[in-house]
Amino acid sequence: MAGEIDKILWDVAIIGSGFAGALIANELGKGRRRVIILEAGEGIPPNINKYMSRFYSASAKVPESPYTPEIFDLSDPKRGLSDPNKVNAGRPTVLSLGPKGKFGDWTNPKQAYLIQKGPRPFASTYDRVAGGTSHWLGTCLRFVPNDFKMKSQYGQLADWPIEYNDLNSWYGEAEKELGVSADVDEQKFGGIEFPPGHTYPMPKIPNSTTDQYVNDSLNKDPLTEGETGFLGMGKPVTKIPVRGVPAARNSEPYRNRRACAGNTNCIPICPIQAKYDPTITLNDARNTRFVTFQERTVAYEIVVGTNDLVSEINYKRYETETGKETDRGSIKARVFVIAANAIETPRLLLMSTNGGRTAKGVANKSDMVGRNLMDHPYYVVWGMSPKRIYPYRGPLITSGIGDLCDGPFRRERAAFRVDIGNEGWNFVVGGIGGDPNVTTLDFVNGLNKSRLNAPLERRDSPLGDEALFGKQLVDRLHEKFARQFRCGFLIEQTPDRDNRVTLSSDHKDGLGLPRPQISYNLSDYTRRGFIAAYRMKNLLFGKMSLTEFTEIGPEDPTRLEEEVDGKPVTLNYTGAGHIMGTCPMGDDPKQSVVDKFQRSHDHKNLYLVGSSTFPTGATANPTLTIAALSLRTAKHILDTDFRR
Amino acid sequence: MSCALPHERSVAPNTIEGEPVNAVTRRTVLTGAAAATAAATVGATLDTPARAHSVDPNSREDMLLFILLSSALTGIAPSKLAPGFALAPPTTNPPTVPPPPFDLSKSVPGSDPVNVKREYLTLANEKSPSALENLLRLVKKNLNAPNADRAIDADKRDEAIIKALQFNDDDQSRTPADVDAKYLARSIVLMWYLGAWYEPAELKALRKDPTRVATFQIVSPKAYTQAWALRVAQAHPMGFSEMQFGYWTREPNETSDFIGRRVN
Repeated sequence: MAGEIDKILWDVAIIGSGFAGALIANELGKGRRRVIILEAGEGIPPNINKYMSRFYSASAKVPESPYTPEIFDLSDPKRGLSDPNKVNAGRPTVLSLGPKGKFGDWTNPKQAYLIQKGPRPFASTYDRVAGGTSHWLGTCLRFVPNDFKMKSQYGQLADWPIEYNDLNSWYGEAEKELGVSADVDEQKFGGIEFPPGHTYPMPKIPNSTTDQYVNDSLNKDPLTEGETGFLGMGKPVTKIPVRGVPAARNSEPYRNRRACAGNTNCIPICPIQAKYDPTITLNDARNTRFVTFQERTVAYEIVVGTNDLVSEINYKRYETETGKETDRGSIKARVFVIAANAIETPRLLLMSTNGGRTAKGVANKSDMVGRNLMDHPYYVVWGMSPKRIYPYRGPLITSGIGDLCDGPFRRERAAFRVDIGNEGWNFVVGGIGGDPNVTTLDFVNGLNKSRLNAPLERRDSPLGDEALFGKQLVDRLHEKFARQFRCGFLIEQTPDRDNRVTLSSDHKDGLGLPRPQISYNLSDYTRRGFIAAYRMKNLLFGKMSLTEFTEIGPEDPTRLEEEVDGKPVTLNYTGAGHIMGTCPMGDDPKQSVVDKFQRSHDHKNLYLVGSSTFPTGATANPTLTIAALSLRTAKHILDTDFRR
Repeated sequence: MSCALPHERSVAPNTIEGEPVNAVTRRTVLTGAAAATAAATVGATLDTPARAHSVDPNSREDMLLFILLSSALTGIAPSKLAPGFALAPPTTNPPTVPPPPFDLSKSVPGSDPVNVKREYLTLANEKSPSALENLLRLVKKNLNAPNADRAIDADKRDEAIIKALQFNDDDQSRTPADVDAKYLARSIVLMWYLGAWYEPAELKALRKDPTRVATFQIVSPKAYTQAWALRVAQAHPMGFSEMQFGYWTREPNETSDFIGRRVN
C-alpha cells in the first residue's frame, strides 16, 4: 500500500482529518487538486453502530468512550488504563487526570499519554478517529471583534494579524458548511456584526426549561450596580441576557441529516448525527474523487530540502492499535498542510530535525513552536434548584451568557463566558458512571456519594439516610434528578511562553516516537478571571435560590486556592477540550510561526492549520474560527501557484 | 403450574454484532444460561417446597412473578417494565367480592420485542439462584393480597414484598438468606434503573465501607437504552431519546406517561 501512494506527486498532502484537515481537503478536492490525507487513527466507519455499541456498553461514559484506541487494558484482569507506551497512536483521556498515587495519576506515564510536568495538569483531551472531533459539543460561536486585538485595545495578551472583518464572510461560509442553527438578531452582542441580509442556515435551537429558569431568575428585576459592579463592564449592567448558543446541530433536516431529537449526548456522540462532525465533510471530500484517505498512518518527519521547501513527509503504518509497525513510506507533494491539533502538530514539527539541519524542529526559527499552549480552563459549579427544572433533556447545552466576555475589565483580568448545562449532575457528581448512577445507587443502597441522601447539615456523612424500594424510590429520585443544575465558566487564558509542548526524552509511544511533554500553569491574569467567575456564580446561584453542591476533592490536582474578599476560597478547573496556541500566527517571523494565512514563515509550501495558530483564545469555543480560517487558507492555497 | 412459552424457548440470547471485548464475558454468561435452561426440567413450580436453583427464565410463571417483583421494587408499572403484561382474570369494575384469584397459567408476561426482562431474569438467576427463588416465592405468597375491602390489591402486594426486604443487616430476627434476598433485590432494582449489574456482595460491602469505589458492568447495550432512572425524571437514558425535536423547551408530559404512575 505504501508503495502506491508514494509513487504519486500529490498536489497537497494533509496530516490529520479533523475540522481543519477535512474542510481544506474538501475545498481542494472541489478545486480539482489531488489530495492525500494521512490520519494517525482509525478510518471512518460506514456507520456509527460500533461507536454506539461501545458507548452504551461503557461503564465510564467519558468523552473518549465510543472511540478507539481502547481506554482500558483489556488484557489486564484489573482493567487498568492502557499503557500509552504500547499504543501506536495514543491519546489523553479524562480518566488520566486523577490525583497523584491514585487511579489515573496525571503524573504517571504508565497511565497518562501526555507526560505532564506541571505545575498544574493540562486538563483537555483529544481523540484520533477522523480527527477525533466527532465528540465535540457543536457550539459555533464567533469571536467578538475585540478578541482579535487584545493588545491594542486593552494592553494585554496579543493581537491577531487579522481582524473580525477579515473573517466575517468566512464565518458565514463555515456556518453553511457545518450547518449552524441560530438567530442572527440574538447573536448580535459584544460588537458582532453580520453582513446585510445574513441569515444562519437553520432557525435557532429552542432553549431548555433549565435555560428559562436561569433567565427568569437572573432578570426578574433590574440588576443593581451593587450586584454587577464587580464585572467591570464600564457601564451599568441591569440585565444579563441568557442567549441561545449557535450550534452545528440541525433544527430541521439539513444536507440529508435529521433534526436533533434531544438525545442529551452531543458529547461523546450524537446517535442520529443531527450534530455535524468532520466525517460528513470527509465523505464529501472523498466523493470529489480527488481526495484519498489513508488511516493508521502516522507522520513522523517533515523533510525540508535545501531550498527551505518541504519535499516529503515520512510516515509509519500499523494494523492494530498495539501491534507492530507494519510499513514505512514517504509522501511527496507540492504543498503540505499539518492539521493535527495544538499538541500533535508541534510534536510533529519538533520531531522533524532533518538530521540536525532543523535541529529545533521544522518551522521553528522563531523558537515559538510548542509555546503558548492554551485551553479555556473551565470552572464548573453545581447545585440544587428549589423547583423542578427538568434537566437531562435536549442538547447538552442550548444557552449561555456571552455578553460579559468583553469590556474594560480585560485590562485587569481574564474574560469568561457562561455555559448552562442541560445534563444535571451527569459528569460532576463523584463516582464511576456519574449520574444517574451515583444518586440512584445512593437511594437504593443507603449510600451518600451524591450528598443528597442526608439533610444539608449532615450532607458529608458517608452513609445515606434512606434505602428505598418502590414508589418511595421513584418519588425521591424524581425530586432529586429534576432539580439538578450545573453551569460552567470558560475562562480566557493568557498565551504564556512557558506553557509548552516539547518532546519527552524518556517516554515513547508504540511506534517508538517521543510522546508529547507538557508544562502548564495558570497566570495571575487568568486566575483573576476565575475570581470574577466565582463572583458571577454567587450572583447567579443567589438569584436562582440554588443550594450549592460543588465539591472539590482534597487531592484534586486541578484545585485552585484563591482569596476573595479576604477569605480563602477553593476553586477548580477542568479542560474545555479547546487546545490552542503552540504555533501562533503573526506578521513578525521572529515572534510567530505562521502568517495570517496560516502559512509557515520559514517554509513557503507548509501550512499549519487549526487552533494551534490562535495567538489568543478568547472565550468562544474555537471550532467555528478553526473552520473559518481553514476555508480561508484553502482559498489561499487554491489561489497560489506552487508549481515552480 | 407454569408452562414455558414455546416461541421463547427457541430464541437465542440477544447478541449485538461487533460487541466490544468487554461484552464477551456477558455474552458467555448468557450462552451458558441458555444451555442450562435447555437442560432444565419444564414445569418447575414454586409452590412446592424449596428446591435449589429452580427458577426457569423460560417459564411463564417465573417471568410473571419476576415482573411483579420488579414492579414492586422499582415502583414502575408492570405494563411499562414489560409491555403487554396482563394478569388473568383482569379485574372488573365494580370488582367482584371476593375476587377470583389470579391464574398465572392464563396471564401474559408481556409481548414486547425488546424483551429486556428476559436478559434480567436470566442474569439474576445465573448470579444468585437461591436468593432469586426466595424472592419469587415471596411474590407468589402475596400474589392475591387483599385490602380491607377484600379486593385483590396490587399496592398491598407491593407493600408486603417491600416490607419483607427492608431491615437492617444486623437484625437478629433475619436469616442470612433474608440478607441475600435483600441485596439481590437491590441489584435487580439497579439493573432496571441503570441497565447495569451491581453484584449483591458489592452492595453489601459498600454498606460496610462506603468509601469503596462502586464497580458495575453494563448488562448490554440494549439494557442501557432500556434503563429507567432518567425516565423516572421524565427524561431518557442519555444517548437514547425517543422524543422529538424541541421537546426540551416545554415541561415534560405527566410522569404516568413515562412510568405508569403519578409521582408525589
